[in-house]
Amino acid sequence: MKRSPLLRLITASSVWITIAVLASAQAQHPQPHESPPAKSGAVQFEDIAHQAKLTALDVYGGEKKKEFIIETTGNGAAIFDYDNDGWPDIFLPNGSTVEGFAPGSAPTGHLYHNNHDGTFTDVSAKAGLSRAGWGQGACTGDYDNDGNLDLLETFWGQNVLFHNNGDGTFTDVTEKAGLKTPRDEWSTGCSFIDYDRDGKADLFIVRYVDFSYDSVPRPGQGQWCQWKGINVMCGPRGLKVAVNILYHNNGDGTFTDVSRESGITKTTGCYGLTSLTGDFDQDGWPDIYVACDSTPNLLYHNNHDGTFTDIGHPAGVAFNEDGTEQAGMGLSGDDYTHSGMQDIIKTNFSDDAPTLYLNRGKNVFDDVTFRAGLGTIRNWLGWGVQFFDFDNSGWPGILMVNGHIAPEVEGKGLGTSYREPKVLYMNLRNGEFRNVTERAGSVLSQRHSARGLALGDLFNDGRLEALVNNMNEKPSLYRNTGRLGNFISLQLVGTNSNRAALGAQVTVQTVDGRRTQEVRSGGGYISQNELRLHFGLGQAQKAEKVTIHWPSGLVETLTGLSANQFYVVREGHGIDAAQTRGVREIKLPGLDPAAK
Amino acid sequence: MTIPTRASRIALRGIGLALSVVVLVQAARASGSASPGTGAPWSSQANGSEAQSEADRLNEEANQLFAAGKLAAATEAYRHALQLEPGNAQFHFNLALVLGASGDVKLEKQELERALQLDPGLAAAHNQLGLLSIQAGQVGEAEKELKAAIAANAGYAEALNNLGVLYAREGRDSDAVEAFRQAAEADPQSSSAFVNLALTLAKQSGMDEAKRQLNAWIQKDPNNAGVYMALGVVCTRAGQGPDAVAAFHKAAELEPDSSDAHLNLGMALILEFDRQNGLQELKQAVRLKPASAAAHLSLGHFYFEDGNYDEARREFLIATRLDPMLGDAYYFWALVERQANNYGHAVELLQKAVALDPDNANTHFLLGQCLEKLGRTDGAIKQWKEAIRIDPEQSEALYNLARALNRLHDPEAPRYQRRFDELEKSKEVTDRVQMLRSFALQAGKSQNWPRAIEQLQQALELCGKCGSAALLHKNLAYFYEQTGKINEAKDELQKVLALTPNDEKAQQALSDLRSLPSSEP
Repeated sequence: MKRSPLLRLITASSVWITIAVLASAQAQHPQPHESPPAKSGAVQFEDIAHQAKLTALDVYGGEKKKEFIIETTGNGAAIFDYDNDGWPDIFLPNGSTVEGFAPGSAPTGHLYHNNHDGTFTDVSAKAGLSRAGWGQGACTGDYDNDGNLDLLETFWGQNVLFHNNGDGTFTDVTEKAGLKTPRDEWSTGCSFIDYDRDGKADLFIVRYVDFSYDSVPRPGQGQWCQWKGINVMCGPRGLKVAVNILYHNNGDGTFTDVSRESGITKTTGCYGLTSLTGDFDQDGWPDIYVACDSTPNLLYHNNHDGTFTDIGHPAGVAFNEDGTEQAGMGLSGDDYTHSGMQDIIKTNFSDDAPTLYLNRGKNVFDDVTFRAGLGTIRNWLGWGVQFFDFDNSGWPGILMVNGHIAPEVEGKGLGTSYREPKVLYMNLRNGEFRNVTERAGSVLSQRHSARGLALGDLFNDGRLEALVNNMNEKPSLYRNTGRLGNFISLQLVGTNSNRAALGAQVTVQTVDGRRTQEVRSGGGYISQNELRLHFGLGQAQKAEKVTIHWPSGLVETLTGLSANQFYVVREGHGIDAAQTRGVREIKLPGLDPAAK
Repeated sequence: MTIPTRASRIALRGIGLALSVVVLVQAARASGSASPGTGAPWSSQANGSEAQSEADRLNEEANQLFAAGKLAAATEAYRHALQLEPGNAQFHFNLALVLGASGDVKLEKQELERALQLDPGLAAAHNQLGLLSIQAGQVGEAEKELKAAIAANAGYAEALNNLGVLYAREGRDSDAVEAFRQAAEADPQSSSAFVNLALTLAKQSGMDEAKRQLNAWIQKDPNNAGVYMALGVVCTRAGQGPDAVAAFHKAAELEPDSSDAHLNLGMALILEFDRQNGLQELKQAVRLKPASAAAHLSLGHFYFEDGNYDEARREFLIATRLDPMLGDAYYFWALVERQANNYGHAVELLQKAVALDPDNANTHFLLGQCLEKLGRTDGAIKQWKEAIRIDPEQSEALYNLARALNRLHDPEAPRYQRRFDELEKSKEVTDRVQMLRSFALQAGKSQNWPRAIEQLQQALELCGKCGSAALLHKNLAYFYEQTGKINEAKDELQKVLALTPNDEKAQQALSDLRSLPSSEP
């Protein structure tokens, strides 16, 4: 290193850069708020799955031993209003076992119709959604803009596109739509996304591994077939990577595979699990982030011309802050600092922490995991994750659901277990989070090998419920019965934009601040939240201003929306007053009414 | 999903290093002894009768002061003793040791030379001068002094061990093996000699040979804890965890009061994921020798891995107080501070670690990370560049450097990005090749030869000229031979020899195949 003059210059530059960094950091961080005191009753979760009659078993691989990697990934969870009655319904994909089942006895996915009274009815067969096989995840979108949400279910095998017929039934249109692949593939996450902004929802499907039973060694037979001395299923490292796929919606009920020409295939190898769409750089065009297991994550930046470029590395979201690959599983996006931009949270393997990427703008993210207080819990293996405004404060917390891949680890004293508790973080409003799991009720500490996680206000009472698909168990449905703040819910209906308004960005401003969310398909862990956007308002009685950036480019502003209402907004026409509803008061079976 | 994360990668480094630390500590301690077997400044053989001179009394007093760490007072006492007996070579030698402990190498050397002027046959002084020369990098001088020590005392184990260390560092493995062997024979209780012998044998002839020789020694001397320790180290290095645990267990049984035995056993248990028992052994190591910096370092590392950061911090602090030259203690302590977002303190600690171990790429990398968190990007870039200079495949440093330079629109950014991308690609290929090879070997075990051959062919296609190519060709040759495809087998062996001409086993195998009558099916 040269002496004096250069040293002085470097020192001065360092000081200047430090000041610049501090200045920009202050500009982006929210004004400090006092951390909300932990009010008694503010967070109290109950598991109401049983009362709600969500009782079908998820069947997924061996229970005491898993010989193949296919037995480990589990199922997603989806919440969507398939019959447009204003009450979100539930779809839970299902899996299989290596041994298989006798014809007619194989488990299938389950569609649960919301009965509007706190319970659900399994209408799978009637709806035509009883598909057996190694189901994986699901996502929804209205690909034909007929006003009915369609469903794509991913499989190890052939994915299935179920067209919503609008009468409570679905039709398998996979082949007709051009989505049938010449050979079986292992697809995991999916997202409908209008990537070219032509008003029609296209489709992105994530792929994991090129797998067949006879293409992998057995547990223990190789470097990637052991975990802490225990023989476990092999992979994914060392297995052949699969390739993600992008389908363009042709507008006539069919899709065209544009993976190659769009640049989707021009990336480093990725064992892909979950996709998260979002306009991360706010240029008006949706991008796609993919959580890749043990390989660098991908951030497909939309080039506005039908192509994408993977900018994961320069954006800082391919690895953690050290530049190390992680086992990326689940994803969620939200504006947790009220900066107006979409940040990303990702779950990872045990002996690791989840990764929180703070969006700095201009396609730059920082891994702020440790700074945010998320780095201390390292013994659970994370899957489904959601930014979750569980108390309607307007500041989303984080819920993570966990479970190990190997039942073989149970009781081995390795500092982890097969069935694991959830972790719930409260947003302290200063860029940091606090673990409130134990304070939130014993149900979150109950152990499951959980996978998919989806959020939705299932009972139209202003509370978001958290639906979890548990491997080889019945699902869980978590409801915060504690005291909540006010809220508004926005269902967007595209007219020039795609009908489901996928990709719309909405910013809600109150006296306490602002928050931005996006309407998105996919996310969680190979799961689907309901498409209505739920904004907690805290104590505010109204949303002062609501700004909607429609995918078509139209920007609409609404003002003075009263709290505790479910609004329907039509592109270019404002609020559809006829469809707007207040909070429903229903008594959930076996449960006292939740506190107000 | 079995990628080692940041924490476990650090663990692998830390555990391996802890074992090395034990070995090095033993070597240094042994070489510091004044006379064979005593490990302390020379004491008068007088029995405390009236005949004990005042000088002897002062010498004894100085020894006690030295042992208590009161170096200035010990120095003064030795000088008083020398005033009374200026011609006493042993007193000059003792004074030299305390001056060395006080950090005055120049005066230490002077006193040692004075001692040798008075008594040219003072083996310990030759040994100590040899050690100083090793530290100064004066190889010739070191060898001369150590040989002089051995000439003066043929069974001088420490000097023999030190000579072995010198030879090993110079790459004279055969000479090193001979010196370590002699040291072990001279002092069968010296575990450091056995460990050094084993590691040098392993380097020279492979782990199997080292194990064989150690097992032969055990047959002759089944109650020798030192040999079991050496066996444990070799098994650990060979990835034979359960065998290492068994060997260290035996060493600890034979020497239950040996802190090092319990320390190594603890580390081996932890490597085998028996963390609870490993912790008990580490705690025992500390109980037996509270002044063992290595033991505190290992215990601190355990607590760090467990997320028990307060306890980890405490142990690292103790380790650095006991041995301010223990670079790894500063490194791991810095990790603790980093976890707690105390980047300023982490930087201070890492700067110490770098000063102690300037050729450690990971330390430079981590220092860069912490500097960047403090907004000191230029300093961070410098550290990452240094990390890459030391280890061109330090992928994390490459990644962060490329990113930082990209943000600054530095024209060098694309170059580092390309290097990183190439490294990532190469890792992907390596993983896949390894998996295919494992798969092929399993197929071979089940005698599913077509599957085995197919997998290896896939691996070779992917590998191209990667580092595993020779091994893959060798495996393929074997499978071809098993299926009677002798010509294909020969071709593969020729490819092996084109890549690794000195592969004796491949040469032999090819020769054997050539001598077969042609019998293609």
